Amino acid sequence: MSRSRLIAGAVAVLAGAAFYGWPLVAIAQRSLSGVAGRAGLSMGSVGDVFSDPRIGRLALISVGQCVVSTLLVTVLGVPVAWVLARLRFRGRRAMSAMVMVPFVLPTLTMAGAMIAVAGGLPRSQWVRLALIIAAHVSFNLGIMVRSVSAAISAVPPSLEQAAATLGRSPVRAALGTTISAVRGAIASAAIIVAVFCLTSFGVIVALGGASIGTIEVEIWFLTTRTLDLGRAAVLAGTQLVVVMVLVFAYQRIRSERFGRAAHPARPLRTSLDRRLVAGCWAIVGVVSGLPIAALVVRSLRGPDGWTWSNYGVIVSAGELGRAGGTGGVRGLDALGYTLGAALVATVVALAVSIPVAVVASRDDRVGRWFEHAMIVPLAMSAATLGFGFLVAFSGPTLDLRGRWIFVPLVQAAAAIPIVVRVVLGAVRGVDRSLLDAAAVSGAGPWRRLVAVIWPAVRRPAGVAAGFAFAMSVGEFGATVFLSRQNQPTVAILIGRLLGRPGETNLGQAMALSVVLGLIAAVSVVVVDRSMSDGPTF
Amino acid sequence: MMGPLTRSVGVALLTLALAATAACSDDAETSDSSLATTVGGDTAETPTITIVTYSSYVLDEAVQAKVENDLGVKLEISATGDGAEALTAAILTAGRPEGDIFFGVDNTLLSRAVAGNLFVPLDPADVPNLAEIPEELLLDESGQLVPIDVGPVCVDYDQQWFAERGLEPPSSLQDLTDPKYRDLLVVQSPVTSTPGLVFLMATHALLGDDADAFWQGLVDNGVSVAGSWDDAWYSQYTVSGGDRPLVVSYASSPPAEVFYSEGAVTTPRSAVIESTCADQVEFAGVLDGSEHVDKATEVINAMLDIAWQESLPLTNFVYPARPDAAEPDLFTQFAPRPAASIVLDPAEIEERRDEWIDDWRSIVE
Repeated sequence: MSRSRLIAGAVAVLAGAAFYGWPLVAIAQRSLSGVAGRAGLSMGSVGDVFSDPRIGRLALISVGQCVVSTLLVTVLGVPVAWVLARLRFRGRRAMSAMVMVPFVLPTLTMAGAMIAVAGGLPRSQWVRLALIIAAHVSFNLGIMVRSVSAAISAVPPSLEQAAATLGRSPVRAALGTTISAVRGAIASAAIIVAVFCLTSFGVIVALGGASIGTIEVEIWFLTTRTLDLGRAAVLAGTQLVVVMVLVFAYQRIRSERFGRAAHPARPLRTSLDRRLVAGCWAIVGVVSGLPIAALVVRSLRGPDGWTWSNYGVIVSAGELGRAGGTGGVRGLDALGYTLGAALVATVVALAVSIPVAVVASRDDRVGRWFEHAMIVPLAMSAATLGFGFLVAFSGPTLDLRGRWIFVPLVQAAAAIPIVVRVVLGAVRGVDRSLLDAAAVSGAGPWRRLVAVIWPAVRRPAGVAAGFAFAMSVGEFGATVFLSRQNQPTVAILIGRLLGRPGETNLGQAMALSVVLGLIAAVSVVVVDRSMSDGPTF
Repeated sequence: MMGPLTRSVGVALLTLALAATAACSDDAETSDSSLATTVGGDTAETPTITIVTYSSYVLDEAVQAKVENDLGVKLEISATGDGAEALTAAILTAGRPEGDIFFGVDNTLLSRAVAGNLFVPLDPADVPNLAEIPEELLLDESGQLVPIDVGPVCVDYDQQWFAERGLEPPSSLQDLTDPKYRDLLVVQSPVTSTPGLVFLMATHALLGDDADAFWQGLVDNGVSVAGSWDDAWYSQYTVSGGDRPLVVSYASSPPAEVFYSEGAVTTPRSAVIESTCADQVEFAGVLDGSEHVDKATEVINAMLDIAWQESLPLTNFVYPARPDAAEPDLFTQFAPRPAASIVLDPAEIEERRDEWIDDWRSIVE
């Protein structure tokens, strides 16, 4: 096992260096020296940043909105996860897919949906902050629901039933047994949600306007507006440290190991079951459904009232947008590129994540180190990642700019940390005694992988692939620096359309967003279907 | 027993196959287009000149075809983000440019672009059209950047709103702090928005040391600060259904209102308060590291040809840099070029930009 672990470790380190190390070094090097006559990073700029009261205020807003958003996602998401894992009811797949749709929407679209729901951008700063939090909850509910429901279905329902038989109320029985058994999964999802909220950019700029800024927005501002890479590096570094602290905290509370088998859901039996399902529909309807509905309504509006024309132009040979705003790109071409790029990004992400997860799965120092290391890239701001890729992969020997593969690579880089976490939980669940038995009976590493590990990670790998695909389809923040005029992804195209005035552009942007949402829903349903049966090993 | 395993392997293989197909079809497309280039003319003799710019830039197709034909080149656009993001990307990869020409340096970014050592100096003799450009637009003393167009940023107002209330619209910058116009103005943050930044600079250029007091006056008079132009125009401006009849926008916003209404509007509701206008000038230069410096210089000269200049108003909603380029009816009718714009000095901007923004933030945020 140790030799195969060595190989996996080497692959993991190389991939980490290529995807994060090199871009980070490239951008850090320029931050140290400064560019275009601007001073670089110095002790002075560190002091400046930390003594600036405005930075303190931005940090407070960043952390505040992040904590509130994460708490809301947890409180709303865990019941939905339980219902999806334990109960069988009509529309279960629809609920499971619907909750994931907002996750794939480009941030600009989500901001547009929130403005539509609120009936225009409110003036009050507090209402705007509430809208930002609402957008974050809508975005991230799917992460909580899907990762926690996967964990719940791996916990045998018998304990819960036993507790209920002993006279505890069903809710308390579930809380005391199953939910408590998956608290590690909840914490794990909460940390990822928190990191997403902390590094959120497009939503903050679009909904917060000038009055609500965060550290992430400040990093973007310093990088692209004042070209003060030194101060940007200080803030980006601080953000990384904060996330690492979060991860270490999580490490302390994580306790359980997931089982391998998915336990089947049961039909609705009591009125409480039915009320729970209704309650979850209310949550999912408001949090995920309302923004989607607002988008759909807006996409069906044209200058002269209701129309299908916004969708017609996507599939027709005609150019999108008005007055050449999209550079002659056709909707189907962008859609094809988006799907192709997202597929490649998913394959790359899985290919990198599985060796990393295998190395990290062992509960020793090396394993924990890898696990921690893979959370850190999540905290890299999109601007850092995008510009890092641009600088790192524009050298004389390896120049990827304008190449087809550039966008999927950065999308994979954005998705890998999530994929690793999902796969990791599953690999850890592999029964070690089975592996040992297989080794004793003479099975080689390959045979052990196929016979023992793969059946256990198959379903989580599918879920992870779904996440990776959905993230890649909607990725905007880093892709925007790398995508090219004649070959945009749909998310980038939406950004371009929203950047130009007029009813037509807005309507088409909304229609494309609905299409992206549909793709997300379909990919989730497909993953669910192909993975629905438990491993039969 | 092997059923599910076989199936999941099948799923994995299918995914790979799909990915491979996608990759292959892309390759096929690429080779198709290179084939077309070879057929259309020898690739070795038809250099591709790539214009690096921001993503909302639009190149008129007819003009592109004409220039490609006239100069024996193929034009390509490589666009990234907004103007400042595109320039940052170019500065970070200086010396290994992604294309031959950078377009979209404006006067707020001019000094930084020059300091970034991005461009090769141009011999004015190679850009004969420069002779047609008015003196006040020739802002780059280093001779690297050529002015291509002008987009004045102004305070616009909703004519209907003021007419219905019998209220005289403001006529100067200082009027905006008049309690008569309380809670009527929306501006953009200079932190996140380019027109917001130009407007902040205009206040400093016009009012000098009194600018901070002016901004305090705006805050006291209930100014609303939007994060972006979209936010200001679409969410807060009365013409779009908001509650603010005064908005920082462009001199070309009235014709744009008609153009983008797609026939619903024939006369714009918006008009421009001319004395508040400040010119945002956009420049182009040849990137250091280009393999086609001579051809790229010819393309820059072509950007100042009458045909290219006259295509600018209805593609990018800016005014041509050449005074002798005709403007379309929509512009002459609804957007006469502001007679005297507030002049922004690039050197002063570079020196004081951060200070102005810091001051603005401490007053407004």
